[in-house]
Amino acid sequence: MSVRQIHQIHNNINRVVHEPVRLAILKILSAAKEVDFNFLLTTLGVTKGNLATHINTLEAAGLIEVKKEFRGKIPRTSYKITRTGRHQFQKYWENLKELAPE
Amino acid sequence: MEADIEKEQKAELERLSELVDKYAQSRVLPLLIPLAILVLNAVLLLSAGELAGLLVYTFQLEMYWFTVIRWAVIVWVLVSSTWLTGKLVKRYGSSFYKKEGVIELQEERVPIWVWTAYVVTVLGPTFLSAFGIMPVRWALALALTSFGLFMLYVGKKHKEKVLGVVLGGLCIAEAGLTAIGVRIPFADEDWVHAYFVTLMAYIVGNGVITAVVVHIYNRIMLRKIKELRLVSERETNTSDP
Repeated sequence: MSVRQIHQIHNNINRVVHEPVRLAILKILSAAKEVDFNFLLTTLGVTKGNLATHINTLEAAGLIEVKKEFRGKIPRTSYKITRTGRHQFQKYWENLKELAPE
Repeated sequence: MEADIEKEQKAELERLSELVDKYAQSRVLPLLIPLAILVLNAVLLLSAGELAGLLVYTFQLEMYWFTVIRWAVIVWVLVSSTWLTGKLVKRYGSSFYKKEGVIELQEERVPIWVWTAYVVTVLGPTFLSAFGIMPVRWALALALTSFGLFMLYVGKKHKEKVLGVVLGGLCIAEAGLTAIGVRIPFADEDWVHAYFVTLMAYIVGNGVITAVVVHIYNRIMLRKIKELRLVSERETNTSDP
């Protein structure tokens, strides 16, 4: 692969997706129907504040959808990947595959 | 160099995804809900006559109440084994793993023909055995095989593969052992419910073994996820640009 091609792929990479925590969040969400805040905290091992910031970034970019509801009297916030999010994630993954083939 | 980092990151993500999938598919503790309902229903069914008699006698009811109560027990067993179990698992299932958070996997619907085949092949031998048409051994082997295959299938569709494999596998293994002539626990009892009690004992016993084994597997997966996370922690806890 030429340097130019590599640069081209780099330019195509979505910067919102290209961050380890956000990438991990999208990877988990892409395999699930719905995930809550605590689950992401347990699996990613980041601080609450850090996770909240990344979630806000992903939500602002329209990559994930936030659902707030009450289960009995307990509030619950869950997250779901949007169609755009799935598409962007897939595109990013393909770019990554081109840069780092098996 | 950059390609190496990306390769490493990609491998780490794949591993995380694989572990999360295995962890999510082995959250087995909600199985305790249907098991508890199964035990309660088995006791209710076995003592339906005595229960009806006791209620009729205690409240000085007309004799037709005897039949009404026995039918009410059957209706309760049918409703609680299907609809109520589904509701309770959905409502309280996630509370077993409350501290670790909730993950709902994309499950696929089980086709109606699979349910029908399951009900026919489990209830069929039960009736055939109760009327003496089919020997207890063959009825039990057939019902356990059907239950085991159903668990394998539902486990795959409902994204509870580990549970399906362990519970289904145990039931199929017991069906095989029963078919080749291993002693049936309650078969020697001169008792009308011997088949039913044996089937319940096998299913509940296998369920408890599955709950223990798969829960241990789930803990191992969680530990692996936490270990993996240490590798990327240096990157992940940096502030967001």
